[in-house]
Amino acid sequence: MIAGRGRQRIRPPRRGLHGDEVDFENTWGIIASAFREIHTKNASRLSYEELYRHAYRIVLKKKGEELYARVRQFEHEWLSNEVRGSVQALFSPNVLANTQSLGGTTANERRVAGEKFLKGLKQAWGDHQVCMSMLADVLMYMDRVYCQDNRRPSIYTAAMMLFRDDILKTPTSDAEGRVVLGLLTHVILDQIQMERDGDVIDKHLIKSCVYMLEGLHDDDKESEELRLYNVSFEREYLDTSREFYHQEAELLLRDSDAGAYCRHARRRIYEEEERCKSTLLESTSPRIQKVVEDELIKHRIHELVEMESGVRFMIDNERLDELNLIYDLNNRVDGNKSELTRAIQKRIVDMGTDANKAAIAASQSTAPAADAGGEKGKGPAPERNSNQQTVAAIKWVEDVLQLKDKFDKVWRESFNSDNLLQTALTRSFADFINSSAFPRSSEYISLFIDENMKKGIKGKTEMEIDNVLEKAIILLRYVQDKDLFERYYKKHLCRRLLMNKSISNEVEKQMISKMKIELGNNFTLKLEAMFKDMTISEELTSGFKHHVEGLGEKDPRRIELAINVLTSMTWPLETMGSSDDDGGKRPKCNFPIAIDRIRRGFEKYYNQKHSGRQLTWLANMGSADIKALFSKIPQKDGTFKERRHELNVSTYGMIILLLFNELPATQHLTFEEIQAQTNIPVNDLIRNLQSLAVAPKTRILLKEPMSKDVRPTDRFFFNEGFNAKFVKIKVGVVSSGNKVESDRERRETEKKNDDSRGFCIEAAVVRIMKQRKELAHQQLVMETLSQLAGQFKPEVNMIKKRIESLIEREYLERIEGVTIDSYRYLA
Amino acid sequence: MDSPNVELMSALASLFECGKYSDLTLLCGTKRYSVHRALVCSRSEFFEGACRNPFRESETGVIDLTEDDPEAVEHMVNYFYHLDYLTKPLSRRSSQRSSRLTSPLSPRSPTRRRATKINLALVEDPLMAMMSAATPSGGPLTPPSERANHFESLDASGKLPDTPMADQDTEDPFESYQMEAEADVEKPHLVTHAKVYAIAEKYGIPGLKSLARKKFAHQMELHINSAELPEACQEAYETTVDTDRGLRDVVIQTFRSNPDLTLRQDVELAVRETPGLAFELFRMASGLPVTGLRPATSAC
Repeated sequence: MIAGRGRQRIRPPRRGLHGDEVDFENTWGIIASAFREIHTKNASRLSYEELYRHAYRIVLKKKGEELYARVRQFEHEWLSNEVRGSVQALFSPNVLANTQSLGGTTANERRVAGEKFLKGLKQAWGDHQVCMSMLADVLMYMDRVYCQDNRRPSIYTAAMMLFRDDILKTPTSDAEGRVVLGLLTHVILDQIQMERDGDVIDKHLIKSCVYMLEGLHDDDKESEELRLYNVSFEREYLDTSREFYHQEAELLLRDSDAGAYCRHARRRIYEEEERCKSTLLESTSPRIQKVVEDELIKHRIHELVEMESGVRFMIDNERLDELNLIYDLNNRVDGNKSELTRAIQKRIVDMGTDANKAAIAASQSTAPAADAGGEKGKGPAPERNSNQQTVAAIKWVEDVLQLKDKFDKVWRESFNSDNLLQTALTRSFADFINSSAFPRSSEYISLFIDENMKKGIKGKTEMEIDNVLEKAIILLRYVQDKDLFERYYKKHLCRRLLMNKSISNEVEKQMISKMKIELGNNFTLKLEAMFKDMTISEELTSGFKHHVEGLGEKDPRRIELAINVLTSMTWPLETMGSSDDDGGKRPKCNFPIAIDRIRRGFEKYYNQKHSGRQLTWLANMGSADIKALFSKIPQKDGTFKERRHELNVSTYGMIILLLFNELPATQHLTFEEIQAQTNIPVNDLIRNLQSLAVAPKTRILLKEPMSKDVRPTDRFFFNEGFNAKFVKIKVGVVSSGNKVESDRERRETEKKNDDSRGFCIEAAVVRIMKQRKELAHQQLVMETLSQLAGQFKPEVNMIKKRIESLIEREYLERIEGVTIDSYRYLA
Repeated sequence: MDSPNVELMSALASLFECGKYSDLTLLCGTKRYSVHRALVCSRSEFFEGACRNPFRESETGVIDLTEDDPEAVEHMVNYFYHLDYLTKPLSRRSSQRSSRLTSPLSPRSPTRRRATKINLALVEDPLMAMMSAATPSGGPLTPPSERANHFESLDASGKLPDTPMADQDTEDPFESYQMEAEADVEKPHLVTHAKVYAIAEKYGIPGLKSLARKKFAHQMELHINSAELPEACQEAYETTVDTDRGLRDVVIQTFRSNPDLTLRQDVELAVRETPGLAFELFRMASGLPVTGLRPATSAC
């Protein structure tokens, strides 16, 4: 309490402390000399408290503005008089030289001189920063009160600007009147260029100068875009880099191969990225990247891809690494990778087209060659020809699969399994597989499966079989006209089933289920029905056998019957033989009595089970096993021996042979007689007689005169002297396997296919119109196309014709008086 | 007592008392304060400036503040460790203790260094008060009635700065009872607060600044008739720049609510001697905005 009162008494001294005018000049004198000490690194002698107090008092006495101005002036003078001189001293001729011409000095000389310059500047800048931060701490109160209240930049910032103006923006002594800042930029660029050329430079040194440029701004507002780094350095850096990489790209494209170019470009991109991290600023990274990418990739990618050692070369030589580089580079500048995609697609289509051409060539050119080699008889020549075609088909499939494997590998290993490229690959494969110049892909694929079902999968493990099937499915995916494929597949499957050619029923079913997954239920419906018929037929056969056994005593001469009952709509029976010769009327041949009895027996049995169904006998498709006894004739070893043979012949062949059973040994039958007695269609008869009387190994009959052709006037005898090594003999009938179609057949098939497409289109149109009632032409076409996409791609013309036809038949009518062609559905 | 805050505060207080780990010495006249750079530099830019630059202070580890008011320096140091200064002891303290508690006010207290525990208690009081402000059920050591009273007065200063209530407060029987018991505490300390405010401004300690202002405003209300008032007003106008409104606003507000003040002779003398104050009072009397002439302030 007493102390408190006491304080009130000591007013005068307090007043002296605060109230009196501060002697500004004196105080400033103290401060200025202290600043000089700080600049000459003698701060440790100074009392911070004292300096702070002086500055505080000046500001408190409202002399802040004056103080601020004095400090600026002090710094300006210091920089101009003391620092500038030492910086100017750094301009050695070698530093200045590089701004004008590169001649006269070696890179090393320039590098050393440049580093000296950078070091000196860095030192000056560093000193300035340190001193100014000390000054700013001393003048803290001024910054806080005066600068903030009057919105002046802090004294530190102001001093940094002074450095910019008094040092960096002062002219150098050279003739061009360049300022220090410009020189600095050139020195840094020169150093970077040296590094690009393989020199080692002092990155830290450059980085600290870069930090200086980053910290300073071209204006006094400190806006981001106007950093000296951006304004004075970066722009020029990008420009010179662009020029450099432009030339480098030109040089490289001329002198090295594509792979080396890619590696180089990639290295450059990496280098520039690293440079931004270690030497410049990270913010430059995207910009310089763009420059490099533009110059080395974007503007050059076309040339690069097209180079002799470009994409095509890489694909052909399996340069997966280089392809990966190209992919990576292209991906940097173009998300669609259009150049690479284009080149890849072209290569696929080219290679695919080559495969197509090879297949066509193989199927055509081998025909005369086969003829030349197989003069023995008429039969084998066309057979071998078509065999050759089958080989060509299988080779084609394998070629395409190989191509597919090759590009899959490239895609996986070089293109990082890129989705866009996958689409492109798929499109290219589809392109050449469905090429209009090559209409055989559906047939070839089906044949490939056929071949594997019959032979290929023998002895293979489940895995391998699955692999084969999967390959077929892969190709099937590309095929546009699925309906055509279905037609071929049905035909081939039909033969396999009826002639028991399939190695494994299991595998067949596996294939069907694969197709079901890939193409849908609709596609496999009829195929499955075929299998069902086969199963039912087996039951019928055994049921009938049981039925016959139950009839009475076992007759040793009884003929056994194995039968396949085929639903007529499901099976492509018209493709199975020569029925088309008869104008659609199925021929009825005359069976021998014994056979006919059995036939009637089965018809009766069948009608009991399924009344009302009509059975049509297709003798052209059956086969028979006959035991034949040949009389004793002298053998080569001189013995006489009866010979028994089991002959497997076609049903027609059996009928023909049975005729000779009734005939005395020396008698003969003419072709016409045989024809009249059997009523076998002429074509089939000729072929069967060829295989019985002309084919050298199965000459059970003898023909007069002996020739390849069968003429109506030919006479036939039973060959008593028939000789064969084996007991069991199979008499093949010409053209019974699945072969590539001849052109005539193909036209046939396509015509049929087109007919059925017509129905499909009509059905689709009617379905759509029934639902929509009224529709514009264009829209109707679109919807029809999309409905049928899964089966085939109809031609627009065909759709038009079908629509016309529907209008004629009054399913639809044109809507009168509308601008766009439209139709209305008529119920 | 086992609150984490209390734990920290006790730790800081004991650091200060023992001078343990001290790495900086503050001098003020004959007084030495062993303080910690970590604590001091992180609170005041002045001390940070002194320690981070290679001036003499950072080499010797001694900062001489003799030019400053020793009382203000002491309060400032106290604030660094206790987050408060000139703490008003509560009446529950024994008279023995309270006499020691006032010791920081007397320049040379021989007991200061030893009285660790007592100083701890000194720290606890404002803190406890703050805690009980937040939670109705306070610590067991603080009698509820007193706590409530303490805050009533604080609240009044905040919400009703210029009502006659303030005058009534001084005549509150309870308060006067306290005044008798702790006479020293009841001194207004107006000048002290103004000085602390000034030193906080000088050394850039915003927390201390606002604390001093609050105390100043509070005391102004309680001791409107204090003989210290004229000097405190002068102090407020002379130790900071014009744009610093902290204490100036309090002073002007006081004059506005108590027009009679100008009739006091000592006040008149002070106004005459202080042009800044005179000018602002003039503007106030003329119905003009007090700070209208200073565009810089309006800009802030």
